[in-house]
Parts: sequence; C-alpha cells; structure tokens
Amino acid sequence: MNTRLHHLIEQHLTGKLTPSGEKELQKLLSESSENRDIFCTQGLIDGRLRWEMKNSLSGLPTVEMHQRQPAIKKWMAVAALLILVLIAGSIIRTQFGTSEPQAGNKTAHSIPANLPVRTVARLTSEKEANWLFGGSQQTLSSGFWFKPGEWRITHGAATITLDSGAKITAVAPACVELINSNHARLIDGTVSVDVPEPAIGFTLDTPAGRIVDLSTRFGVSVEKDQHEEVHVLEGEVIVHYGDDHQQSQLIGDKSSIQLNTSGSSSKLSPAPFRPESYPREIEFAPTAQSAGQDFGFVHWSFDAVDETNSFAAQGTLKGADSCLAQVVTPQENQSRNTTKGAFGDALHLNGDGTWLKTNFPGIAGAKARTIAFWVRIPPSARNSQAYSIIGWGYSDPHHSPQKWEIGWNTARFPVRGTGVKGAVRTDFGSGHTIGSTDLRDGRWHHVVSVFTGGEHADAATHIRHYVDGRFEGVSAYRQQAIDTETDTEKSIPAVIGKYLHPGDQLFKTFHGSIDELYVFDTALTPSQILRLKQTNTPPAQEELLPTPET
Amino acid sequence: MTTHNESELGNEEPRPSISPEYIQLVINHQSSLYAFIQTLVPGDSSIDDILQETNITLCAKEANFEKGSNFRAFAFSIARFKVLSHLRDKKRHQWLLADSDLCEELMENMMQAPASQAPAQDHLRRCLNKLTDHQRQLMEKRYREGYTLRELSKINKRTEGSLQQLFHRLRNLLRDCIEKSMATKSS
Repeated sequence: MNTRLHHLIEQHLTGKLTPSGEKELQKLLSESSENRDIFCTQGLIDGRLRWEMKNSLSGLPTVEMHQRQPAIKKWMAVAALLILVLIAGSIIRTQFGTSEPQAGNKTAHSIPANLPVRTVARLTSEKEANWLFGGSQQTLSSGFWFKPGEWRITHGAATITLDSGAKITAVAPACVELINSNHARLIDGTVSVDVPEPAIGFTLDTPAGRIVDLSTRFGVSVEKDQHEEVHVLEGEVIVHYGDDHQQSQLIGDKSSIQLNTSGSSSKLSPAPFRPESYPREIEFAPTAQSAGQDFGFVHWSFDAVDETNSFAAQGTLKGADSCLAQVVTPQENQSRNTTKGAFGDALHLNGDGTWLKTNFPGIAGAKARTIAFWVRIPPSARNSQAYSIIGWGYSDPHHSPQKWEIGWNTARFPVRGTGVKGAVRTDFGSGHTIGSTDLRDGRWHHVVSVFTGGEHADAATHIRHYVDGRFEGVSAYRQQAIDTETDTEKSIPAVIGKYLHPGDQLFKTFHGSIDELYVFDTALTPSQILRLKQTNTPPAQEELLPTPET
Repeated sequence: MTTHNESELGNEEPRPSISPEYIQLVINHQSSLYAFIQTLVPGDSSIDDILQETNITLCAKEANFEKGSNFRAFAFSIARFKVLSHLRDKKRHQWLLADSDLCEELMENMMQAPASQAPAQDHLRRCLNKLTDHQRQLMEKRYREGYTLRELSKINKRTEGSLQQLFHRLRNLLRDCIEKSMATKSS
C-alpha cells in the first residue's frame, strides 16, 4: 500500500498540498499509470461525494430529479439548467452588481421572475425637481429609491446618490440612465459627478465616450448636436473614445476636453475650462413630509462597563438611553469583556458562552434600518461562533423565524458553499444577503447592513452591505419577504453576541470584538456611512432621510 | 449613441435555440463536471463559479458539439479551459495544470473512468446506503458538515493517518460498488 501517495492525494483533495508535496505528487503521478488511476479514482469519488452532500441537503431539485423526467419540455429544461446553475453558483454578483436583479437584466441565470427589482440609487436631495413618468410630470421626495433605467428631470435640480456612493447632480433638462450601483449613462443634459474614494472606478457613459473616474469631481454635458464636454473640477478621469472606445486619454485636474461624434466613432479635442457651468451638490432640505417623520438611533459605544456589568446606551430613538446591554456570562467564565477598540474601548467576546442582553426591541416590520459597527474577528473563529453580532425578533424553534440577525457567513446554510465564508451575512427568516469580503483576518473592519424597507421588501433585494465604507458585492442571496416581529410574546429584544434561536445547539456565542454599534430606524446614505466610519459621528436628526416606497 | 458591452454588464444570455436534448446532456453531466473540476482545483472556493461558467459556455457552444460524439470529453475540455482561465485571472499557480503532459494523461484517465460517467451519481447514492452506519456517519461529517481530518481524529480518537487510509479505502469501496452497480444495470 502506497501510504505516501495516499497522504499526498488526501492533502491535494483538501487543498492543503505544500509546494514540496506538489513536486512529489507530480513525480509519483508522472512515473506510474497505476498511481494516476488511484489519483483519478480518489478525485472523482471525492468530488461526487461533495456534490451529493451539497445538493441532497438543499431540498432543491437535483440533477437526478430532472433525469427521471422522460419527456422534458424545452422551457422546463432551461428552467432545470438554470436551477442547477443557481444551486451550483449561489450567484456571485460583482462588486457593483453587474448581474444584480435589476430591470432589463437579461442574465438567464439571475433571478426568479417574482423577485422584486433591486434599486441602485437614491434621491438624496432635490430642489423643485420634476420628473417625467409615462408622459406626466411628477415630484419625488428625498429618500426615493431609484430602480435601474432612464430618469428624466424636467424642472429644478437633484442629486442622485448611487449605492456605491457616487453622486450625480443633474440640472433640468437632463436624462440619466442608471445602469447599476456604480455605472450610469448621461443621455442628454448637464451633470456634475462627485466620487468618493470607495466608489473609485465609477463609470459614466455618454453617446460619444465613456468616463472612468479616479476619485474626483467632474462635470459632463451632452448636447443634442452631438457635442459633449468633460470638465475635471478636481482629480483625474480617464476618457475612452473613438471606435468602440478603444482610445483613451487621462484628463487632469482643472482641465477639459470636448468629444464630437463622427459616424460610429468620436474625436477628442481641447475645450476651454468652464467649471462654473456645472452644478454643485444640492443640499438636503427637509420637506414638510419628511420633517414630520421621527428617525433616530440607539448606540452602544462599549467604552465603559458599570457595576452591574452593563454597557450604557445612548441615542435619539425613544427610550434609547435605557437600553443597557448587560453581560450574561456562564459561572465559570469571568474573563474581561473589554478591549481597545476602533474608538475608545470595545466589547470583546471569546465565544465561550458570554453574550449581552438588552431591552431594545429592535426595528419592527418592514421598516428601513441600518446597523453599523466595528468588528474584529480572529482567523481562528469557528463556524459555531459566527452568530451573531446583533439579532432580535420572533424566534420559535417550531415555526419559521421572523428575526433580524447579523453575523458572518459560515458557507454552510442553506447548503454548503453558500456565499463567501467569513463575509457579513444579514438574515431574516430563511432569507439572507451575504457580502463578499472575508472578515476573519484579526483586523478591525467597519461593517454596515442597510435594509431599505418598504411594503414589498425582500431579504434578497433590499439589503446592502458596506465594509470599510465600500459598497459590498453580494456573494449569495435568498428570497424571503420581510416582516420582523418584535411584539409577540416570544419576540426577543436585541441580543449582542448570541444566536437568537432559543435552545439552538449548533451555534454557541460570538467570538471577536465589537465596537460602536449603532441601530438606526432608517437607511443611511453612503456618505453618512463613510462619515460614521471616519469620525464615529452619526448623522444629525435632520439629516436622516425618509425611506418612501419605491 | 454608445451601446453597452453586453458581457461587461453581465447580460450575456444563453442562445434561445438550445435543443432540449443538448440541455439534457448538460444537466446529466453536472455532477461529473463538478467532480472533474474539484479534482483539478480542490479546495478552491470558486468551483461553483467555474462550473457555472462552464455551463454558460456549453450552452453557447451547442453548434460546436457533434451529435453522437463524446459529450463528456467535449464538456471536460471546456471545464479544463475554464479552470485555466480562472487560475490565470486569480494569478494562481497550479502544479497539475502547469504540467501539460501529465494533465493530458489525467484527463484521459478521468474520461475513461466509469466514475466520471453521468449515471454514476445515482449509483453512488445507492452505494452510500450500503455503508455501515459508522462509515456513513463519517462520510456525512466530512463531506456534509465539513469536519477536517484533524477534528474527526479527535472525535473518533484515531490518528489522522489512520483516518486518511480509512477514507481512501471507503472511496475505493464506493468506486467498486458504483462500477459493479453500473455493470449490472447495463447487462
């Protein structure tokens, strides 16, 4: 029996083969067909076992179920393949969601037809703006969520903030097509664009070219006579132009160019710099409607623990000050629960059964919410210590849970291989959205989970994550209409550091450090999130935007 | 007016004219393809993505497939290309694929192996039921729940080396069972 060969194959199959092991295995395989037989058999059976366990857990249709169908119709076959792709792929969306569930998305492997459309931007401020919808003029209030598609402003001015944080300020008349969370197209009119560092790479297409931002502020005008101008007000951009945009030019600070369409191509030439022609961001002014809405937050800074082993809370939500977070510790563990944090001290939980209970009921129903915190997760954190950073709601082991919970993804549920392991994961019932950055590196990360809310809100489409100020790609999602139950007898007020499901044996308590935990009852904007990360300063009450129905 | 590059926007769409028979072939070979990719790049978190990419290309390349020829060979060669392209994108070295002669021989071997045939997955499921309770539990713990050999060795109070040998034997047992089961069915 070739024990060494078996050992090397085992290492290879678990992805743990060292460089010297690679050389050794390569040699063994090259010199003997018998060794190659062993390798191939072991590899194929190992792969089949993984496939079997992965798919038999899911409860979703498996390959064999479809094979048993004797006369599979074409559309059923396509659907079957797409289901397979969904099972296998968990649908990785790119950082700015080029294959997000969005209007006009033709990606066949994307989404069930009944999934609500994901919005990509928000109206963050406007001044006497009118919009053209289906032939009639309408107004939109600040906070409105934009779906992908063409948006024509016919009067006034408005600032649209994409989920990435890039801001487009348009002055009527102008028409902008929102393509995804970091990509838009100016069809006609004049806009200025502000791109913060996390949204570098924002792309604005025009009829004659494509402008790729390098963290800057620039203005673009597209006139009906096919004359376009690009003015870099601050920073740099790259302009692509010519046949199929194959030519490109870097445009520096305080300079400008013009693009002229010529047939199917475009030409670039100098233009006088006229910064005054481009609008500044419109300041948010609360309307009578939004002023009537009362938004706020609760905040645990974890800077000091009192004599009752509790952390104080503060904030502008009603009763926030009384939402103490009390440490619950098993008898045998009396270890210190604080550590140096991102701002002042932080909460430290070592996954040994310690957690915090509060009397904060959480945000109910489908109301928008933002949960922001700093987290540091050691690479040694185990799957059983992934839940949760915070959770609340109704959780009965015998019924479908109606709870809101944030932790890191173990890539085990609902099937093995779901999403990026270690990425932020927001769960509601059986639905979820999972980010794409593995947080388990022992460093502090600023993590924000934003739920946009609304009557038809769904866990698959209405949750966004930001990690270190950057809009987070989605590695997996699952559908579930959201209605968080906070007022039933079995509803549990917010807990920090513990899986909410009573009696659960699978998850223990959270392992890692948490700092500056905020819960807002509205959706923060990307710039508010960035400021919170940079200065630990929450937006003022009057800066919080309402979240009207999309 | 500028038009968006469809592939850049992630809007590629499978050809609507794919025949049901061809789609059936693709579906039937999912587990084989997965096992093949897993053998080439084990432990890579992108295996599902590579399979997805392979499926999309297979759907787009129906015209390149000669009806009646070896679909498995056709699909495996596309999967191999996708693996290579994935490794290139990720700037990762892979010893197995870097040695093209060895890679060819292994591909040939895998294509000939009964365990790579489409019906093998059904037979595997039946064979799993023939394992003892303890053997099945070990398989479940390792392949469904993701326990490492080190963790299993602690739970079972056995050395990692002996567990390695045990899994090796169990996989051989399953291979024998699959081949026997397939031979019985075809006769």
